[in-house]
Amino acid sequence: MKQPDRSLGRVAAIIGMGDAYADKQAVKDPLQLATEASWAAFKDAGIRKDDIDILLTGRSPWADRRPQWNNIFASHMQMPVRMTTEITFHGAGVNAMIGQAALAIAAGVADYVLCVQSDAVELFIDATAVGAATDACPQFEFPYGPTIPTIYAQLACRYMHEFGVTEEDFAEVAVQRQEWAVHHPKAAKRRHGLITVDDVMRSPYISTPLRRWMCATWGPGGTAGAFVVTSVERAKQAGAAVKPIYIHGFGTCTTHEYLCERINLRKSRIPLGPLPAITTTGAAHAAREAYAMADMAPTDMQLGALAGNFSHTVLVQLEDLGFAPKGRAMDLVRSGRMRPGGDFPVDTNGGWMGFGQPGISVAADSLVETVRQLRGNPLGLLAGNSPKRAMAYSAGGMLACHSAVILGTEAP
Amino acid sequence: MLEQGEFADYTESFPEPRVTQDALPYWAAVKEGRLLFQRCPACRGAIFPPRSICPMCEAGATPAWEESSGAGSIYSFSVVHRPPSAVWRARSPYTIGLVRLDEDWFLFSEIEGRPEDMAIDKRVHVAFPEREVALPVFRLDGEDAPR
Repeated sequence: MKQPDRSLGRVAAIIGMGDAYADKQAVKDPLQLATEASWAAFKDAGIRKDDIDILLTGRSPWADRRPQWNNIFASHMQMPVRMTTEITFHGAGVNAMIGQAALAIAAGVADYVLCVQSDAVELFIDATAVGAATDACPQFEFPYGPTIPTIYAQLACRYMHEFGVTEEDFAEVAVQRQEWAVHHPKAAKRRHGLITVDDVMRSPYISTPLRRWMCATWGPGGTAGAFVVTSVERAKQAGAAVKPIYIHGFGTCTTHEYLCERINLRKSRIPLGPLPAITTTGAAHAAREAYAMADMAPTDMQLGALAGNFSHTVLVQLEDLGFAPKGRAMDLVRSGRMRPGGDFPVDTNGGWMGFGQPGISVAADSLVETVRQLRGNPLGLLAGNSPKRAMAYSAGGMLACHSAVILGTEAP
Repeated sequence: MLEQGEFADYTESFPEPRVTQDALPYWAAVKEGRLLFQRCPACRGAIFPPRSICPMCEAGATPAWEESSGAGSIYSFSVVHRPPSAVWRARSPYTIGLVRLDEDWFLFSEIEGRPEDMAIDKRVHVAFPEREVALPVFRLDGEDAPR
């Protein structure tokens, strides 16, 4: 298989970032959120709207599922561009916009690329019904009445079985996410305050072995993240007010759409461990490519943003991203290194579990948090270790789609 | 803008499977109380979900239909306590799991029985209960009476 080109980790930087938020008191739809975030990103980058050559979005927001939403947004902005497309492989596509933007910069077809994603599920739709209808196979899964947690729980059940992990372990993961979330003004679970393992274990089962506190919640009401990507040269020449975040590496992988397809996968050119199995995901490949491009190792990362929509996916991702051996992520959790004050802060906005999932924009929220922490201006608690290099990972689909981006403050 | 009612299938009734052309023989057999899967004539691998060309080898062969014994074991499972919609609430808690059939293929399916009796590797067998929507489900071996 072709190896990632290391030169690609030295070509591009994020020079502008904008974020936007909505709730029941300040209702905004996905177009409004994306507009607000984009204008904030232009200002942050010190560029004009008309400087944008290429517009990238992830897939259309759940709260406005018109096809080719990217083009609808370009039109809404009165922003004719040379090229626009959606990067659509679930939540991973949102994260992968950054790498695709870097490729466009490397190819010399754009000076400035705008990457933007917004959503506002809680304010506009019935997420429980829509969620399963979207992510379960309509032929071989959906008719049995699963929810999204039911499908993810199949991995939780196997993970516990294969590695001796317990529900109390899952509870500890939730406790640590909440320690960050209580400090973030936009986090959906902030209002609940700190929790204990007992609190988690007393919360009702949603779909065994997953209890309510082991699951991400819908919300906050709506969010958007916008990122202006340009060349390293332009980033270095930008004004003193601009704080570039360099794109050191990126990698992606997709292995399937539905779980019934994944479990029946018997051969894969991308290593997924012995098959059939579901406890190793394509995140491992995405991360390997990103590290190789960046010429960095997992131990070089000083900050992490995961895509843990459930306690067990946090653990599997920590392993697949190289931060713990397979089946041993709980050792890292128990070490306390990822908690506030730790030397490897992870999910500093509370992660998908504590911050919540406003929709597909949850992946942009993780990028926003990463950029904010690297710049030292988070909305919530500041990572105490002054991180210079970060892994921002996103996932989507039923353990299906993966994207890893390594960002940093130091010019290559 | 998406309206809530667009997913009325899930909120107001038991959903029918969205049948693909590849799977027509599978669903025709389900109506007769038989469980079918495919096998590649070249690599001999069991194929599921159904395909028009074997995806597991490079032969490009047309898969052949084969009848399953319907026997297998639980690979993973989850007991649904918060169902997706009103029609499922009356039936909950119910168990959904991945079943590994003895011919070495997997079905995502319901496993009938008491939640506390569910365990990985327990033996199960297929059943075709009378329901609003005809679907193959599984029962723990030794428990043939429907709930």
